[in-house]
Amino acid sequence: MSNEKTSAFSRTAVLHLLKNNGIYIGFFLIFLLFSFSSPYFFDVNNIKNIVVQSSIIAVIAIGLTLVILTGGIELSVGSVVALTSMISAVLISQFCLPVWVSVLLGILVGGLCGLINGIIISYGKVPAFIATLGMMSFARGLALFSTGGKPIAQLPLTYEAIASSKVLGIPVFIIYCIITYSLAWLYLKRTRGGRYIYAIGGNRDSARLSGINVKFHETMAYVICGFTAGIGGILLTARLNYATPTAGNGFEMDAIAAAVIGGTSLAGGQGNILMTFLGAILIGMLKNGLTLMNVSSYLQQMIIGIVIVLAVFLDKQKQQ
Amino acid sequence: MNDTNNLLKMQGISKEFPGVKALQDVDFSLSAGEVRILIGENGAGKSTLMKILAGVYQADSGTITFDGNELELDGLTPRKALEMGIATIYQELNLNNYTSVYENIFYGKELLRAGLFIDIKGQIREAKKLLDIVGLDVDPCTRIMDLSIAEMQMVEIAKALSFNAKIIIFDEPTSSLSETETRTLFSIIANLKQQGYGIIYISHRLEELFEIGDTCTVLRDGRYIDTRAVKDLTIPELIKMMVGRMVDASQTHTRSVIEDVVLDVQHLSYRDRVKDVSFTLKKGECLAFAGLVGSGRTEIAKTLIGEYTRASGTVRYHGKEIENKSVAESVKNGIVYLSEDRKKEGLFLKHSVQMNIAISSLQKLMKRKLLDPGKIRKTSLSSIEQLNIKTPNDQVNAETLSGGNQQKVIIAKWLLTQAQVYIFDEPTRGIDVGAKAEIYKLMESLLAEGASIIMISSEMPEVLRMADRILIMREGCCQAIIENDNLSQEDVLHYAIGANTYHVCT
Repeated sequence: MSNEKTSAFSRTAVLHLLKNNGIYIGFFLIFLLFSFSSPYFFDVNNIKNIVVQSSIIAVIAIGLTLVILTGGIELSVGSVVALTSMISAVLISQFCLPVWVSVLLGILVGGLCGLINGIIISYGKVPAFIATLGMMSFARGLALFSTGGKPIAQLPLTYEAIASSKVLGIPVFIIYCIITYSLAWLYLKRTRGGRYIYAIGGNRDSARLSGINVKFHETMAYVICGFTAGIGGILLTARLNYATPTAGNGFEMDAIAAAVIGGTSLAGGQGNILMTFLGAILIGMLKNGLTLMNVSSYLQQMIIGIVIVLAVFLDKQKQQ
Repeated sequence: MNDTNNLLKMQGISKEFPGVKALQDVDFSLSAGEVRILIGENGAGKSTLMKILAGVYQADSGTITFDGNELELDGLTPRKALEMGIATIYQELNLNNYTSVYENIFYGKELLRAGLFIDIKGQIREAKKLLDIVGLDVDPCTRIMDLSIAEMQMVEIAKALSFNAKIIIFDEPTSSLSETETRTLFSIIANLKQQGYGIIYISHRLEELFEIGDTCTVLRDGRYIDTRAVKDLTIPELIKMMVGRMVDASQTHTRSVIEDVVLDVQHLSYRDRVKDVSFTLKKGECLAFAGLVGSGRTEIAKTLIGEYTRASGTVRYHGKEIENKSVAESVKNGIVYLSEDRKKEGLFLKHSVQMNIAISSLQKLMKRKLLDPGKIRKTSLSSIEQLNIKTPNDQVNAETLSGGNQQKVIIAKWLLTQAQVYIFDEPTRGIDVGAKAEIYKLMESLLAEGASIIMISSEMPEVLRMADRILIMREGCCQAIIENDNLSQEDVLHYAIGANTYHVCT
């Protein structure tokens, strides 16, 4: 009798553990699976590689997490990546501006795209899905228009250095992740704007009636999202040493997936920015491990699709 | 009344919700071709009784006999009630705006051809017949959104008739209708009565009762009071029956109100919901907004705090004119609103008690440019202690707290902002009796510390207990502002239902 009770108890305990730590367990299982199935996977260089490969999506996913926390969505980040990439390259190659000026202006354009999105959504009351869908098409079109669709190669070495440098032997991309995630964490946890983003996503009416300037702070989330997409665009250009208007295609989906796998609720108000990083790494790890196992990239897409839905399914179970 | 003629007989109906006895041993009967008015104050149990009849709630005990058959209390669902012939026209209409009149009438019971395809022509033809009965002259193919509210209501009635309804329940149907639309509705009701339908009409507008009612049943505090023929009734008699109890004199208060005017509102208007309302609020004063639900009380509050944009009027705060263009500005000015719907317009249910308390005063809880978690924690814990909020700690989600404690969390939030004017909208709605007293005490200590309160309340005992003065609203107009001095519930109700008007507004 007592035995039955303990086993029943432990079963619920295990279920509880599974529900509440789904992402860690999933992460760990995938890690184990790849470590055993490929001799190259569990290797310091490969793991560094995974982080570097995931870092661009990870940075873009910061902004997306903020937007999703407000209860919104942002589909234009992939196009904004291409736009910032092209703008920075055009400024260098055609206007002969210094690299650092071009890069900063490129990132600024990303922020501007976010500002436009935010204003249209918050003040113009256009649904975020539609407003950013419009921006997705507009920014991509502008990127293509800037050079008539031609890519720009042979960027200065200083541009490439943004990606290829190492600090104390650590790839600089990892440093970028640490810096951007620290800033994002600080913003969400330790500033009013960050707390308000949670409040707005949690209950918009309550937020407004609590005296929060909902429109302003919601717009800020989109501005930050534009900036992180802009940074993502620069990082991608630097890594490829090549700017192309078709860059960043589908990045919005990877970034949304990173946030959602990390447990950010699409309903808004719930989520942790550091878990988004874990979500981005998990996607990167999947892609890396599956490639090492010689799984075709088509099959990889299918598996990633399953993982995204599974992550949200587990999250919903947790809430009940 | 003749028993054999009864279309409907409800006997000994009782219903208890957690903490509230909504109905106790209520009897109700109705004959075919009778228009019965069901009347009582807010919370008297009218809606609960009708929802039991309509299968929305299940009675705890009692019997219902309908059309000669005794119904199974447990098995009654809204769908079953409807199919048996008990239809309800709710205040909120249940129509799909984007589809046509005939589609709405036949949702869920479409006429089919070969058991598969919708017989559109047949539906249009049948819909036309039903619309003729209710006297609505529109093309059945018109989209619902192109109709007026009154016309939508007629579609609802037609829909009810399509179920071969024998009893039609109207739940305050005229609250959103214009004068002429009300006329039309009354003639439809008279027509339905002629055709032998039984009509139950819930209202708290007395003039309507005398106009269309044959008989009238009064409920009070969940109990059956009496059923009388309307032609033998007088208004004072009716009010006496509705209010019944005497107010405990010991509850009325003595409080020192300082003559400083904190808030001076002149000619405030908002759409057609608030019409030229003027009042003042003094330091340490509790001004109650009484009146019926929908009389524009909440709209005044929301216009004051900038949630709604005022059409006209001036607001002076400590003698200085303020705009309050947004709630944020109002909060900065120290005028705050506590909604009756705390879950939708007050709390962040999925967030911690700590966050709910601190959210509006974060700028005071910073160290250098960043929020100070230590200070936030200390502040929220001291609020919890000060207001005696019952919660295991400040990290649990607000949704886990009881109604009374949730209200205290919201009060704590505004206390931290050092607000000076608190607008409480139904401060004790959904709060059990014990916690009510605590909320009143908190409100009294706010007043004692020099804050001012506007209290919107539909509960007469609450108004009489808390208010220094009472502003009575009726249909967007201020009927009167009276001192709370030996007033009875009858006095206030008189103004609220318009039986007595000496301050008519334009």
